[in-house]
Amino acid sequence: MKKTRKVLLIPFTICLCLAWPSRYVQVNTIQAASAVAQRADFKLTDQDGHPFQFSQLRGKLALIFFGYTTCPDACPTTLSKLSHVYKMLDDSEQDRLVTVFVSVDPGRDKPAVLKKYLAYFRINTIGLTGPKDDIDQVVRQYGARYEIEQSDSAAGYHINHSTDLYLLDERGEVAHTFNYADGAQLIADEIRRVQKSR
Amino acid sequence: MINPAYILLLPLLIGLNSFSPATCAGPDDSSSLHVSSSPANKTLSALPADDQQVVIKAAWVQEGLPSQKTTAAYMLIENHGPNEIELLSASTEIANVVELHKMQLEDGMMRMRRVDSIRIPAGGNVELKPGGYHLMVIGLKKEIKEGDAVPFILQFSGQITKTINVPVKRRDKVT
Repeated sequence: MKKTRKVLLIPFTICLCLAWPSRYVQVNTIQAASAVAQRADFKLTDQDGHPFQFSQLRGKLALIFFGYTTCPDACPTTLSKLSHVYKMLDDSEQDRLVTVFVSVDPGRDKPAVLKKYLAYFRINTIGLTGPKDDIDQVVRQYGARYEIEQSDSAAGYHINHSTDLYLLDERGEVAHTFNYADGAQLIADEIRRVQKSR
Repeated sequence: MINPAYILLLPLLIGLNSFSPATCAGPDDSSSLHVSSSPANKTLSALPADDQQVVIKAAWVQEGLPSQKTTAAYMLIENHGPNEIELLSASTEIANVVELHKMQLEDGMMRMRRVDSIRIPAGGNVELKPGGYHLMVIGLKKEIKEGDAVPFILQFSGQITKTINVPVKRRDKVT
């Protein structure tokens, strides 16, 4: 009887040994992938021509959105809205916040162009550009979208792009995603809520 | 008997009216004084009817952004006439080209497309506004700053032409 138990236990133990490590590894792989998705440290170039890593944002809240400087409507509207958001925040709240404009038009948006453009809106904005492949990685990371559309317009091609605004916490993880229709007051309130919760 | 000198002066009077300071269309100005222009070949008796048919209100053009040669203009176009009309084209002396464009937010994605015309229903209106229609002002020939006024010529169906002076605004002061 005891022998029978041992015989039964052997295949069970073998199965357990084979199954356990693989399940263990699999779980950890998913967690690692998730961590990479949330915390990948991309390198782009800022409006001063300096390399910029997303890890430089850590310790502050960051508002990130994607656009291009020749955008006639959505981008200047978002930046204008954010200038209202900044006016609603006090100095301390502003100091702990940075806005990041990631260009999806690296062909036209060179650092010098971004610098002049963003300075106009009088808020603390970092403009980022770089090789298309690098930009595309950041776009994918946040679930943003864009498509370059050729047209017969005298303005040349234009870019259809998503308009979501991502609020990152101090660890670089998305704390909230704002829709295009969300107003300045709602955005300012959420920034305060996240800052106070830390 | 009408003095022939008055007839000779008539086109001049019409022309002056088109470019008078009262043509300035401010965002807070709801009067219809700011729009007045008509085909020069219209008779005097036809002028009041055309002037009342199309009224432009709350027009503004975005201040030129640094490093950019493109901007956008917005306005409310009212059609007080009995028939639908179409805005067919626009032009301004301060840019190479003006096109009619439409923005559309679809599933969080802001899309833009050029349109051939903008219809204004009889007795109705169309608002050119952020997130919707705008006049795409392409190839700015000079800087336009808040406080300036930019002349635009709008060509509608029915051979209706409107000349308006559009004030330049910072977008964050309007939206």
